[in-house]
Amino acid sequence: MTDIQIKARWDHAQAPTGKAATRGLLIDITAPELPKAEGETERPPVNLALVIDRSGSMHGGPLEAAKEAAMGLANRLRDSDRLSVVVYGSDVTVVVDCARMDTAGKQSAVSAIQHIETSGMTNLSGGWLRGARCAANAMDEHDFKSGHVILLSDGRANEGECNPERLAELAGDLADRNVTTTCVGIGANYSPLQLTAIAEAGQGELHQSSEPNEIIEVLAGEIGEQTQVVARNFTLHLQGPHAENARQLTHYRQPGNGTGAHTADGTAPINIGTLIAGQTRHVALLLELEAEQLPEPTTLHYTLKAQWQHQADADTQPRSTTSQTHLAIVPPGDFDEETRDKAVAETIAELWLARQGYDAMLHNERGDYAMASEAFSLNEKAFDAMVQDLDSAPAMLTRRDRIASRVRSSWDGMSKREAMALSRKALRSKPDFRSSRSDADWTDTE
Amino acid sequence: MPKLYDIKELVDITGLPERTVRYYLVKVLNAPSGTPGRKSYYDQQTLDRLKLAQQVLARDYDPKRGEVKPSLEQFSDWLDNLDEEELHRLAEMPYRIKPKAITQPRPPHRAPAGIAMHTAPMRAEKRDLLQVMEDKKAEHTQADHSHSAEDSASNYLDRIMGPDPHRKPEPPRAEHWNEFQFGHDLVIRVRTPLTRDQRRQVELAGALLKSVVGGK
Repeated sequence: MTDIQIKARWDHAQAPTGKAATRGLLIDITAPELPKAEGETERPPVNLALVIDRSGSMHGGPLEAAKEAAMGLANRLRDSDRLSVVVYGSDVTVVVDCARMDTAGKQSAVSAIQHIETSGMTNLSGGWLRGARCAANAMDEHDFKSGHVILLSDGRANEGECNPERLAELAGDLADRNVTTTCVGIGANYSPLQLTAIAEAGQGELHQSSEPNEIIEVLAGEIGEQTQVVARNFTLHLQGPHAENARQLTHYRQPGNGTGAHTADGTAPINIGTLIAGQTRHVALLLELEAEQLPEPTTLHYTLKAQWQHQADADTQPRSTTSQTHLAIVPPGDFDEETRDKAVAETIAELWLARQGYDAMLHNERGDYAMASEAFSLNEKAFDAMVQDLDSAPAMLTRRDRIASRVRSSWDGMSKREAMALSRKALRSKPDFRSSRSDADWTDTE
Repeated sequence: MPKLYDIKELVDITGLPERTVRYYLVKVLNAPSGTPGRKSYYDQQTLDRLKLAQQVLARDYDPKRGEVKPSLEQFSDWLDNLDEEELHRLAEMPYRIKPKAITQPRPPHRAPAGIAMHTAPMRAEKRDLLQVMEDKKAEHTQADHSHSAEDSASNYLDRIMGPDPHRKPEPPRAEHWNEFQFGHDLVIRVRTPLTRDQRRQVELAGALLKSVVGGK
């Protein structure tokens, strides 16, 4: 198996002396494919907990789809994998407790899942934490290094812990202890703030599913990814001249959240989280250089340092690698505007637009419409400068204006949930597992 | 007695529209925006802060010069780190404040506790969820080293949810066992604690087994 590849590209690798410059840096992190032995991918066993909302609103299609997906999951796992299934309404029940997925384990899990029925309110935190506990117990009792919880909900938590900030704290604490959480929001009535809080802090994904068949597709995709994990806790750190000024345009965990926090020698570490075999994740940074920082022709050298926990490593020692990139500072007469890499600029602009939209929608969800508008207005001029010579500029600016006008006032329902989930996926370079929406545009709110 | 200003005076002095003044009062300065029909009064510090808001937030920025407008939160954080004297000096200064001075974080020791405490509750509601976690992690790192690799996920969940009643018991360790030796070839080990009757029965069973297997 080859190593993780890190490739860094500037939107423009040149800047003139004596003039302020803003440069975008696109970092591609590509995880290798897992090796195959006798036609089957070699992978370590997985430790999954599926937490299913069985409140009254899940009655019918959604619950049946969740059950079908859970049974499909049980049948797809291997003998050495462990599965827990927890259901929650007003009360919390462990339907399958950390069962080994050999033939007998699969049969007993499928039988237990078939008997799940709707009941009661939405004690989301109780169900989720019980699922986390099942995964944690499997780590203690069966030597797993990590566990993953998949939480399905179609409603707003109205029992147990409901505060998004507290849910984020709990999810973050669990992720720090190698229990991550992905959320699947179903329909138009779940709380994006509660599920986003858990998914963001829990280093997992946020999926949206509108139809029962989409629940099955989303779960199948998510579970497929969990069996393809190559690295966990992947962190990236840019060092070099004025790197402390670099602002993260994507939305990965970072002290200061990309708004200027830094260490003595560069950006604060950016926590990408889990890497899936064969997938490429993009990280976009914006480096702002003032005129007085570029007094004479030179080459600015930058180092990207990455560190991660390899999934197959038995020990706990992290692996690391470095990658180099540079920015040429040239006399104004030698500076060539045409050497700008428009493909890189376009990718950075798309990520940046998704970030603005995502921030704006979170503010809108909190009812702070002024802040929602500011997510775009604060970046307006810099963003316009980034896209000005791109062929896709008119389309991007139209999309920005459309979403900006939408977030200025109350906005609820499926279209916002779709847009939030898709923009977050765009920011994290993650696929939408739903077959009918593979080309979905996150700003398409019609 | 120090001079106090009403909303109209704040509008006249800063040149900002009344709506903007009320918005900054609530969103940036964490001060009451006033109730229509009732007069509210504001002190010199509030006026100085509004003057700085007018200077920093209500102007155009040129991205081609690398200028990025500070967010409301960054600006508010920056204000919190200024003492009364510095605040007034900056508000009266004829030069424009560089945005970098606001967007770059400063060492925490400069924060005056009074102002920070006053603004903290409102700020907490608006913080980014990722930021909540990072702040919390920093608190842990500085103040509580118990959050470490030894603190497993199950121990953490025990702390917040109470002990797990369904958890399987830990496998017994050597010190939990009582050993009954019946010659060189036969040993019976039993988990403690045993009652006197149970011990006697184990000894009888051992004697029986010894006769069966022929232990010496």
